[in-house]
Amino acid sequence: MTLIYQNAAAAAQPGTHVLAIGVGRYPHLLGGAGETADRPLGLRQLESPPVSLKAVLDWFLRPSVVAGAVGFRNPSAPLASVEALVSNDNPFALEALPEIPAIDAATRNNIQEAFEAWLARLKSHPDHIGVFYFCGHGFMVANHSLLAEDFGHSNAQPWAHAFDMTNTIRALEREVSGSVFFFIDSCRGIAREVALTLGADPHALLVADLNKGVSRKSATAIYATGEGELAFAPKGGEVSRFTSALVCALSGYCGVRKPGAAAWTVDGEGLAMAVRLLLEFEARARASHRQVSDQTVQGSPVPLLQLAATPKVKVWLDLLPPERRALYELYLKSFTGARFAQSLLNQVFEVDVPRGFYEVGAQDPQGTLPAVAHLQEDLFPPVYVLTLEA
Amino acid sequence: MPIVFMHGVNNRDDEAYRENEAARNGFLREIVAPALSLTPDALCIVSPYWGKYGVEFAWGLAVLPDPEDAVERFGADPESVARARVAGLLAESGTSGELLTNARQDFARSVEVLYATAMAGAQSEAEARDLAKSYVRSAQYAAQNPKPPWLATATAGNFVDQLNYAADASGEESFGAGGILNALKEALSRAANALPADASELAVRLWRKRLNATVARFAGDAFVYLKERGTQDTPGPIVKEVLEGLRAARAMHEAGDDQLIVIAHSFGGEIIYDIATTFDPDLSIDCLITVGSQVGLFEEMKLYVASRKDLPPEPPKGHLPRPASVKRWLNVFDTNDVLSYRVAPVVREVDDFYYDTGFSTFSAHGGYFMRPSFYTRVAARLREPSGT
Repeated sequence: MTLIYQNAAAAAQPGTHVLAIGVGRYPHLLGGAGETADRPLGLRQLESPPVSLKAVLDWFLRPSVVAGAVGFRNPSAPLASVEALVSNDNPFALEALPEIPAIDAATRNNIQEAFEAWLARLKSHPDHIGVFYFCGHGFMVANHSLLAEDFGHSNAQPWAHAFDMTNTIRALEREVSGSVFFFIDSCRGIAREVALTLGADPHALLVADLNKGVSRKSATAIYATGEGELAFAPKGGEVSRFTSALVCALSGYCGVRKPGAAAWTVDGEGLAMAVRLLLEFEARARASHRQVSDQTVQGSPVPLLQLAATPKVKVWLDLLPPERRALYELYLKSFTGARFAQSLLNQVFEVDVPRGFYEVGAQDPQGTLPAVAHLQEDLFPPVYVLTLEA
Repeated sequence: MPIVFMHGVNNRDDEAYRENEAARNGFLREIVAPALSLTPDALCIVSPYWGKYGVEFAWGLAVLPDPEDAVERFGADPESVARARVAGLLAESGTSGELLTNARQDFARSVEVLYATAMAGAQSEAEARDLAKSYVRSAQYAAQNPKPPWLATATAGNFVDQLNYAADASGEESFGAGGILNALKEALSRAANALPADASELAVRLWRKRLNATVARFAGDAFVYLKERGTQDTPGPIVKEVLEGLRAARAMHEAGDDQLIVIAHSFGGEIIYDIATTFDPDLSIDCLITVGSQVGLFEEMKLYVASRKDLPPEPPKGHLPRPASVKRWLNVFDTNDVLSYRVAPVVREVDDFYYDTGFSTFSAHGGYFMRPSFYTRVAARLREPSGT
């Protein structure tokens, strides 16, 4: 089965419909159990996509099981359905829904069927919100293609079991009235072999009828990496870099509040910026394999999330020269009076604080060494990085 | 710790020269720098270019039996140039373009040819560095696994994919393939397409066509240098250009890390020897690596400024001392390279070592830096204590 969650009570009102796909097992790619494709494009088995998929699904589903848990929250468009496909050698289980039956494999046919079912639900109300998440292999030529589990099954049609995401998005924008969010966690490296093969282009999941105008309210596409670049995950079956940043951003590290409103809202633009900055923050100490998210945000802003709590900021505060760290207190003092501090420790001060204006500084508790302070720092989600010099 | 690369004769600042430099620098950084206990990024490479002072032919080599021989073009685009280099490489090293078939006979050699073919098309130093890193892994894998099981069932389409997969030691999982695979597949295609049925003959004919012009430029550059090298007080333009590069490299040294390595190809060796013995005997060189050079031959002919017919007193028994400013000297030669000579019979405390470029006769002379294994051999030598 693919439909793992459905909120029948929400059918008549705007809701959020999720289609999430994770492909780690590719039998015809390098290291796979099947016959290796004649042209595997250098692609191999992946450990991260099922784990990343689990992180996303748990994030969406957790509040529907445990009230108040960190996860999806949007009173204007509550979670209405979650459809999932996973290709993995190991059993797949969710913390949020431990009893779900086995989820279908992410073959090209299954993806097509799940997509069409998801699309039908999405079109059933003009204010529905759609979320499409994919984690697995991908490549680019003119368009961005994503690879289903059975990619490489046919040497006569070597790229048949993939789909054209670029044109799928263009087609979808003409079919729905609501808003759609695409989170695409895959590489976008240029596949020269595909480019040099006539008739090789994978098909989109939906044909784009250009007689129709663009009908969606908003469309946000956040890609794990830039055109021609790779996306990465730590080895050993961990959540990918991009999905980590995405789930983190969604978990309270972005959001704005309209004048007079009580809730903080997260739309495509805010989410895109937060994901990009979190990826950069994570990569700050990395010399190679940099990964910079690519994003397109179109249409009017429509919130994916509505949060009750003030968004948080990851603070990374250092003091130079290093030998001074253990002699100082590093602190942040909010304009609302809250104070966060680290005293006399020879390490970077890392803390999460609510967004807002702060005095940020370093002072000698003995009062001997000179103090350093920045009086009106705007701590805006998701990260604040500063190195003070004493 | 800078490396100074001294080019030889018959080099002009054209596209081929720049591509060679980019590929060479990439492999020097990734393979040779670690042997010097340096990170690849930390290695400074200085390449004084003295070809601009080389010979000019007043009649544009109209004296050649066939004046058209002076210029040979495969095409204007870089891929044509790369393919031409590969055609020569394959034809003259007795290797066919069917690298998968070859790999089943001699896996390690096929890997070497694959990467040499990829090097021929490297457009930038960054690309060459990626190739060098990948080459080290693949060559090591091939050495440890001369008959990997997958090779028996590999196809021409997935041979490179499987090699790259088997040799990979990446610390991260990527959701796609890197650009290195494109470069290697392009190399495979280049190798397969560089030699159509009659291409061996074509390649041989091409280098024969070039031979007249090449010999003319080789001799011409050497004669120009000998005529215009000047004196210690008033060095000629070539010596000045090279000295500037050497001194700039020397000035780059950091406190406690003041090693200077000089790699001199071909006639570059003679220029360095003249500098070490006459023009600047105080300029300390920690390791001199002469490659395909004629330093020993020119001393036998007593053509250096410092050459004296009465030294050594009883040739061929005696030896000249190694220049005092040169602390270590490795001399690389290939018996197929008719322009490379030994040094050890003439100069004391020089380590001659043989490297098989895989090229034949005249083409071997330019083949050293086109072979990935050349850099690993040099790196291995640099790791050895002096004199072994």
